[in-house]
Amino acid sequence: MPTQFVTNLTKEDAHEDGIWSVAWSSKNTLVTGSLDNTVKVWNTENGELKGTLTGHQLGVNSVDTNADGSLAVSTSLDSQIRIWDLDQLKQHKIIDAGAVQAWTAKFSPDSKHIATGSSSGNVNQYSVETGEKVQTFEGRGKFSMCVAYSPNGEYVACGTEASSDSATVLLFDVATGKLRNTFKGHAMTVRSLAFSDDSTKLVTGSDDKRIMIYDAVHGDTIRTLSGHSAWVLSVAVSSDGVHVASGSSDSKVKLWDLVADQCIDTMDGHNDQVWGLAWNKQGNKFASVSDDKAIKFYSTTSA
Amino acid sequence: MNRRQKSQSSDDDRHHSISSDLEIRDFDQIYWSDKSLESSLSAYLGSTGSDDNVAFLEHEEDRDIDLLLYSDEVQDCDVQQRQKPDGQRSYSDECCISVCEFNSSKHLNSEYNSIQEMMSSRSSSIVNIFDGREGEGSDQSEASIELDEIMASDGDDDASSEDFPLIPSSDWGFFEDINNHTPVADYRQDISLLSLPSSPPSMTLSSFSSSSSPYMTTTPRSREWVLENLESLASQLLRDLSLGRAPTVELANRSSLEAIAYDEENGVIRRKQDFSLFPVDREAIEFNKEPGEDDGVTLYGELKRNEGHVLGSSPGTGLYTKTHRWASMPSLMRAIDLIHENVCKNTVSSKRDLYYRDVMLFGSQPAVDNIVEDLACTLKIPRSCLNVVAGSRSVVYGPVRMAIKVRGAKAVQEEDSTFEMLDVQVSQEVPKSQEVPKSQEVPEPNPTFPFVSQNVEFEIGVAGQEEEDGDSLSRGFSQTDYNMLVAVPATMDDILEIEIHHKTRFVLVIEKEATMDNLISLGFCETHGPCILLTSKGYPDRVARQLLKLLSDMIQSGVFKLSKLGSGGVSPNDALPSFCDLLESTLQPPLNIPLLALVDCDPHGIEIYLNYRCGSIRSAYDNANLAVPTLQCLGYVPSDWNIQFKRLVAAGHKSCSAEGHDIQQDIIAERDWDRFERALIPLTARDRSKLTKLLTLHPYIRQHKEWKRQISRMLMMNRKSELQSLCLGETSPCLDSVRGEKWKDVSIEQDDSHALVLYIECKLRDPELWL
Repeated sequence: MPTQFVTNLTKEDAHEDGIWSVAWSSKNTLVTGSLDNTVKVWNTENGELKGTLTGHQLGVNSVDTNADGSLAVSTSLDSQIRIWDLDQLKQHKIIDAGAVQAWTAKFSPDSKHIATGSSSGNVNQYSVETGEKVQTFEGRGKFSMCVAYSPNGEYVACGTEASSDSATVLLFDVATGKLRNTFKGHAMTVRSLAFSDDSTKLVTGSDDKRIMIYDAVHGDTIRTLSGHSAWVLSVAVSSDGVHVASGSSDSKVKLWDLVADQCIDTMDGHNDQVWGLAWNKQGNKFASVSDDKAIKFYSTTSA
Repeated sequence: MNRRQKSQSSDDDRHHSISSDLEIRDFDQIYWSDKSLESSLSAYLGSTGSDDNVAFLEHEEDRDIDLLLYSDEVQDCDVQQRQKPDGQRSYSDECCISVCEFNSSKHLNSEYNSIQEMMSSRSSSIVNIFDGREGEGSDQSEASIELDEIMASDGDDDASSEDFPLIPSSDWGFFEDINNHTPVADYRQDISLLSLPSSPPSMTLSSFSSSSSPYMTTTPRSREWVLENLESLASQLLRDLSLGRAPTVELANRSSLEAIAYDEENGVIRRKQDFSLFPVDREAIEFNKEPGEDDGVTLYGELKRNEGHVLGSSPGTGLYTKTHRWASMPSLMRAIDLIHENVCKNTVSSKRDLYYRDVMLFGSQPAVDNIVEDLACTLKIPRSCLNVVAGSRSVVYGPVRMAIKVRGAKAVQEEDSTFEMLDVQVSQEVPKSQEVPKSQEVPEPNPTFPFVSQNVEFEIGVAGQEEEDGDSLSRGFSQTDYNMLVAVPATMDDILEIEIHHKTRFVLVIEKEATMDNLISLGFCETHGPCILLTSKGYPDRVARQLLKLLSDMIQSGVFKLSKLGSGGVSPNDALPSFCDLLESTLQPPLNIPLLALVDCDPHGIEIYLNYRCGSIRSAYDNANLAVPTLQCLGYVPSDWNIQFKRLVAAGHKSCSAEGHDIQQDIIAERDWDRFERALIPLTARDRSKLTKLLTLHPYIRQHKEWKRQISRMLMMNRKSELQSLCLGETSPCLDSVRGEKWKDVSIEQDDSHALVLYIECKLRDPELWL
């Protein structure tokens, strides 16, 4: 009997324009970034707005929070990286990465670094403290649209545009800065990727409508999940490693059970592309954001 | 060609240099006491170049492409600049001093030697500087002097504004001021009376150009004026050379960051009016002089090299470009020479032609292009006044007809006494009260349908008799007719008359010629017209923009017909009133004819639209006469995709909610998605870089919320699409996208209509969708 998730809260018109990115902090606040140039912070319990963070000049295409939930990082289309203090709800730092040099940003598990994907295909690592670039992982020259640290902090992975001769997901060893593994299989740009909590599995979503699950250590393809009828824009793995949520251009959110190996639910509450998904720390709740300006919260019936 | 040979002989010595401890002598005493120098100069200007008969090739790239936004080379500069913490860009002062660069001492030597020759033989070379101009007597020199005085007052805004009331010059601010405008015509007439008979238009306009507008406008000038100023530029060079100084010309800073501004009111990129030049720092210029083997003096100079510098606009607007400007002094002198010759003989040549006349010297086409633009900007005249054009690629079709001057038919109007004066210039001869319909008579436009013609037929002047067939060959111009595919002439001066049919619904500017051909062959103009189609085959050339601007001005002024014919009795090249002058005197309620652009949904398409709409940086000094702020973008934009997404979503939901999960609908949804997806092409790195620059740097986009959203969406979705994708297959996904959302109720016969036509039709119906 698979776990059931239901939509328990919908926040319509959460932003003035489409919402492109979301992160769920360990302090149970939800951070969203939107085409309306703002970052908003929400209470995950009741969906109340805690604050609006302004400063970005263009749409905010990625947000993330650090391990203790005190800081958030966001990037906008002009490649500005802004770090926000979530407790005081104000800007902490700006890093200007240079044109098209930072598409998405993620905190490292130790919260000391930020990794960004870039148009050049390299993954750059910035120091949170100084704001300076401390390390570059050499990509293959293909635009990397998404980036993720493994929860154990050993690896950083990036998903790239597909081409005939290069892989679409690259896995770097953080300590050595060397390319450790390449994962092939996707036919089109990888939009989103996520590690399982034990850092063994890597889940990717792509414009080819498929979700792939790789063995992060050995580089084997474990499974391919298809079911979306359009680009898979976001994937997120629950902390228990059982569930994968995926959002797509077909406006649906699908929930996959990795143990039972199947799609266990399809939520079609949104009526536009679902750009982002985020799980809570416990793995019993998640949220989705969409171009229809709405945020939806989901939780297990048992929770 | 002996100056070339001479330069060879002195070439070997140029590596020796001695310090330039030149004694600056009293210039006036030595040279200006002898006025004949000017004559020899003009002889020099008039004599060279004519024997260089390189093949005349009409082949031109007059793409007004702003290099920053379009060139990868600049990307590095951007990045560096962006990383400066204060957002300011640093430039060395030299980028504002214009071109003084001797990259080839050989050429300099040759120029200098030829000048030496001229000076030594100047007693025998007193040539009337007006020799090259047909049929014009000594009055002209007086006229030129007076013009010069007026020109001198241009620099002093306050003085001239006391003398003349401030009136918006020929830009759009003018149209917003209809109510206050009545006195302008009277005033202008007064000025015309005061002004010199040889050049009424330039006289009146020169007084306006000193208005309080912070942006530069160009002023059409008479040939004499242009000649005079070219000669004075050249004489500055000669003066420097003869004093042994580095020859220096201050060219206007045409498109540097500091000189360009964004005219927010009109949303047009302009050059600042009062942007002053940095004084040339002669000390910074290393210029060496040494005795040569000849009895003469050999000069050569290594001036501080003026590399292609990074240029852009004032702080805050964030607009910038890079020009590859390396005009060497010999190139500049040669170009002035060639242009001078052109203007003297009143011939028109293309920029390409100038380049071919001295390929070795100029080195590259952009070098010539930049010199020509710089000169035009310095003299504050439209480029056409230099008699330099670019070959036109533009084609216009639809309910518009023109009388186009036959090239080379110069004196026809004067000689042909049987020529009928078809029209009269309204401002002077037709009482306005009789011709101008009262605004109350104009029916209110139907709010539900944007294209209701106001049915006001207003023609300037009265139609004359048709010419006899025999005369039409020799009458000096040819008449095009409605619904003819007409190539726009290379210079707007060649258009003597233009008439829009009063039933015209809209003007559509199309990015691609192929699309235009397609539309014409599909009968689009018959079913949805009458509409004027205009294409410049990609990035617009200048005449396309000028023509669109003229159409826009006519529509704004409520005028269907403009004619220069009939103002005869004068040389057809100098004294014809510009259309601008005609329009200023005939303000009507604007016509309800929207100007629309149909471009690809990709960075180039957006840039092409912006080129028409806001003007390019390259032509910023003249954008007041080029940019068309009334142009709106009809499509094709990413929001068209988004509607499609929603439609696909709706189809998907239907299949999900249906009992037992309707597989058939799933398959249809899948097929629709595939078809739609094929039309969406992933962006390249270059595309992304361009889009990001548009978003962050282009002032119009920066202030236009909807365009920002559209471009952001394009970036986020990482896709673009071509107009042609609308024509793929039997049904178009994007057509459905527009129809599905907004016009479910609109019945359109899909069977016999083409997808592209349907798309345009749908878009036409809803002006709210226009960007």
